[in-house]
Amino acid sequence: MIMAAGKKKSLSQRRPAKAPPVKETERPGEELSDRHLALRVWNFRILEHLEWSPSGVCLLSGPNGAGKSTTLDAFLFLRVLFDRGHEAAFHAVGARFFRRVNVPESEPVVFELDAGNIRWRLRFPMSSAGIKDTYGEELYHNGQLVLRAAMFEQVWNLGAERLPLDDIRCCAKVLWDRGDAKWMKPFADAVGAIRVYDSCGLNQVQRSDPIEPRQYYLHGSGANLWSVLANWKSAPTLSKGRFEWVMSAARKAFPDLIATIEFDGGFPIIFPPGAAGPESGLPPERAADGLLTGLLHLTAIAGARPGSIVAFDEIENQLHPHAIRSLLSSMRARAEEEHLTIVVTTHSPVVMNNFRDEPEKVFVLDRSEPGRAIPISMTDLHSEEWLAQAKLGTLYERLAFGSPPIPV
Amino acid sequence: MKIALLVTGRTEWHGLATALRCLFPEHHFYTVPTEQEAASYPDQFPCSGFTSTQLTEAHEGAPPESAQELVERAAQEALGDRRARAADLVMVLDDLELANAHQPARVVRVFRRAVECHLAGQQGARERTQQALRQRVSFHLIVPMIEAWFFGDPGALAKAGVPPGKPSPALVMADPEVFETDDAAYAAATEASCPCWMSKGRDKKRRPKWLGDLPRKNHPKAYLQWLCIDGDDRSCTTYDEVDAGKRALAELNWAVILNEPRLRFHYLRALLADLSQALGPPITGQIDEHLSQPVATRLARNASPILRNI
Repeated sequence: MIMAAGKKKSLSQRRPAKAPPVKETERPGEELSDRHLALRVWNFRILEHLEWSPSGVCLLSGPNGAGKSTTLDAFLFLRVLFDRGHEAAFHAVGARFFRRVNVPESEPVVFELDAGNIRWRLRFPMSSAGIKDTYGEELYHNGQLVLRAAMFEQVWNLGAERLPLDDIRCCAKVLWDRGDAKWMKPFADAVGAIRVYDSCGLNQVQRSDPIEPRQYYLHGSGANLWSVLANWKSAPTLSKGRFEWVMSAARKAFPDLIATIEFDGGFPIIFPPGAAGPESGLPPERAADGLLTGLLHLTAIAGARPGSIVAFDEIENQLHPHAIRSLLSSMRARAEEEHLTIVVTTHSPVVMNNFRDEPEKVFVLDRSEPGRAIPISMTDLHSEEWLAQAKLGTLYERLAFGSPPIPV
Repeated sequence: MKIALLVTGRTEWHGLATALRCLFPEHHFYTVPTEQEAASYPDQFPCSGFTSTQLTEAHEGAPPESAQELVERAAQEALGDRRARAADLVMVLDDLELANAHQPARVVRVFRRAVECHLAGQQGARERTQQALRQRVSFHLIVPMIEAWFFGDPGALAKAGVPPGKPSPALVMADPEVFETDDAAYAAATEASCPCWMSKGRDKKRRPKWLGDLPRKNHPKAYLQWLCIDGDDRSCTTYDEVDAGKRALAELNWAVILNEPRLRFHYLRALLADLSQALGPPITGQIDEHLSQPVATRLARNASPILRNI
């Protein structure tokens, strides 16, 4: 249960803030480089100190319980906090046991996010049940403090102004919504473009719910998969060929399972190659789990705005090695075209082998050096010469990295 | 010096470093894989050999994956890493096994081919890897398997669990590497000799080696298991690799093994001669390299060695 102690007014008394229209910037180059994010975290669940600035297609590895999912939750938390406020953010990742175990309550959970020349710092006073009081927030531009809200206070400072805290929005969002801090645009775009997809339960995808209009980006739950694909298919030019990109990639990954998807009265029907007629099509509840998982991954990537971070937790679930390799290949190509950062977590040697030529893009949540920030790049853990002798998946199986502490 | 022993069986993994340290006490021997990796495989040994089935000419073109894995591991030990200094020597040790007893030269050629394939797959690291393999890595055969060594030392057999009072094992040849027993009782033994096998429903996983489809007279481990038959139905043998095998190997009496002229131990001598070349003579025993087996001796190296001894 999230404690609502952070703000004075009850939920029923709050007036929802009017959000500005979503702006989609697709100009590559300098703006996208400004969207490159650097994340730092202290005392968030298992993560004592994380510092990471992923770019391109990256892999995050580590033993069970190392903090792979928690790292993705950190990204998700910050996005939801910026978009919809702290209560929604806590709801998205869970407020209980938010703070690292055995850390004194006096030590806050700290997040820092850099986008270009903007730094956003948050400090949360947490108990094991949830947030204890108002959180602290600072925003810096070119190293200069722009706004500050101290923990436990009900007001915040914006330059010389002293303002009451908003009931829902974080201070940075309030500033952005004013419309006169244009310099925040790269930051707002970068944070707003974070997408995290965990191993989606397929139950919602297997249901044939009616298509909903104006669904253009895949939700984190994947529940609106068919609506997104249907809307893309019905407007190929407006959606820039996203549906056909997904179908093309899906055919490569699942050559015997899918040729196309058609929508009958708003309900999806999946047709395999060589389908003789309507009777050859299958509704989602009869489709292979792996195929549905692959469609979710591809739709997530296809819908990502240029410059986005898109993260997948345990990307290999339900997927045959061929499908894994094919999907990763498609994702890499898309990432390069759209300047995406794709983060995958995995225990799969097949996924790891896919990074054989880029060990510098493999990061390990390695705790063998106390006090050292994680994750650590593979090429900082092992020499490239040493790594070149065997596949990464093989080394993972041999416990050469990312292994639990096994008693001997 | 630091010597890595890359082995393919639990007995060697547990006991060989200690055994060799007795001969070369000033040097540090360690086994690969690591303790953690071995502990992570409760039912198998993580490092497989490539000789358990008969190798064919095809393998000389396309070596088994297990051979290539041995080369990978050896190369890594020989190159070192950010947190681990390179080993000065890496000894890759695999059993010849009965399946390949007639063709040790082929086994060596297959391993050589595995090294060549590995180097061909290296790009930027090829030259350094090639140099490391040539300077630091050797490949040796244990013939036909590690238990053969115990038959050169009566004390080792006792430590392996052969009951006192048991008649001395009857070997046709004095050299345990040319292993053959003419023990009539062993030859005539049937499954009725093993109460455990009979009472546990002939579970294939528990089947002792001497009941398997192999020429039992030539199989040292099978014979040892039979010599150590358990009297009751708890298990088929008191010999196990982890405890008894480890003890027998770690406490091997080298003076007996190496100074008895009838015990030729050509392949073992080739291994020790290779070590002596780098580490100096052992503290006991005579390593006459001319008695060592040509396919695994450094004396037989050609003009373009790919490893220290091949």
